[in-house]
Amino acid sequence: MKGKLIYTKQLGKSVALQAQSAKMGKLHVIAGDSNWKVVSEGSVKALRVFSTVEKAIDFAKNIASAKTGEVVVHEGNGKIKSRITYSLVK
Amino acid sequence: MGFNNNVFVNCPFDKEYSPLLKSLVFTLLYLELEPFLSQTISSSNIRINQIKQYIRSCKFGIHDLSRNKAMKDGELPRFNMPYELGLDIGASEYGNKTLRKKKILIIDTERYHYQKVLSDIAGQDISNHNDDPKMLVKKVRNWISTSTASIAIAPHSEIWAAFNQFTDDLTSTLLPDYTPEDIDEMTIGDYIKFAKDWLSRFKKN
Repeated sequence: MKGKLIYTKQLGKSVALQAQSAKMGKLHVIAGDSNWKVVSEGSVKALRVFSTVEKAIDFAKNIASAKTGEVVVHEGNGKIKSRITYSLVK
Repeated sequence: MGFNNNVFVNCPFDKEYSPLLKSLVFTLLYLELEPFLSQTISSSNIRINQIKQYIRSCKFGIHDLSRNKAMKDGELPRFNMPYELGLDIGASEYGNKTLRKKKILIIDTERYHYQKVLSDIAGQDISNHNDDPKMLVKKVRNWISTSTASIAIAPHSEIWAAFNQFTDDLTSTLLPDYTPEDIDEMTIGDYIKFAKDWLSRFKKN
C-alpha cells in the first residue's frame, strides 16, 4: 500500500477541532464484544448496550430525533456505515 | 519518547490489512506509545538498516505473520516479516542489558496458523485477531497491559469507542476535499499525524 499524502498542519488542526467540540446530540452506534453500544460524541462510555444493531440504532434515533442530532452507525471494523441527521423544524 | 515507549510494528502493507493496521496504530497512540513502522521509511534510507535501528530503539515489537502465506492465486508468501521478527528476537536474546528487556508479540489471523509455518516460535507471546480490528485492539491492549503490569491502562472498550469517533471525525473533515478512496489510502505516516492531533484534543474532554 503506497498511500496518498494528505496531512497538513491546518487539516490536522481541523480534525482535532472535531474531537474538542464534543457535539451535543451526536451519537455513535458501535460494535461491542458481542453486542452493540450507543456512545455520545466525546465520551468513551456507552449510554446503553443492546443485543442487536437494530435495537441500538432505534434507541439512538429516538434520542437524536428529539432535538437537532446525528446518528453515526459504524461497521464492525469501525468504518462509517451510515449517517442520519435530524434537525428540528421551527 | 524513549526506548520504553517505542513500539516496532512489523505488519503487512496491503490494502486489505489497512483497517487492522490503523486500529493497531491508534491503540498504541491512545496508550501514549510511539509506533515505528517500516512503511514510514523514506526511499532514501536503506530499508533494512532503518529497521535494525527501530529494533534497537524499541522496547516493544509487534509482528503480524498473517501474510506469511499466499493471499491470492499466483501470489507468493512474504518472508520480510518473519525475517524481521527473527532480528527482533535475536536482539532480545543476544543484545545488551537494555535490549534484553524487549517484549515481543506475534499476531496472526488464525490461532494455529503460525504453528504450521514457524513452529520454532512456540513459547513466544502469540495471539490471533481473526482479521477483526476490534479483536486486534483488545489483544494488543491486553498484551501491553500484561507487559507493563505496574501501570493501569485504558480498557479496550474505551480505545475502541475513541477509534470509532476518530474514524468519523477524520472522514467527515476530509470528505469535502478528498474522496473516500483518498482517505482510505492515505499513508500510515499521515494517519499517525492526524491521530496524534485528534487525541491531543480528545483526551482533554
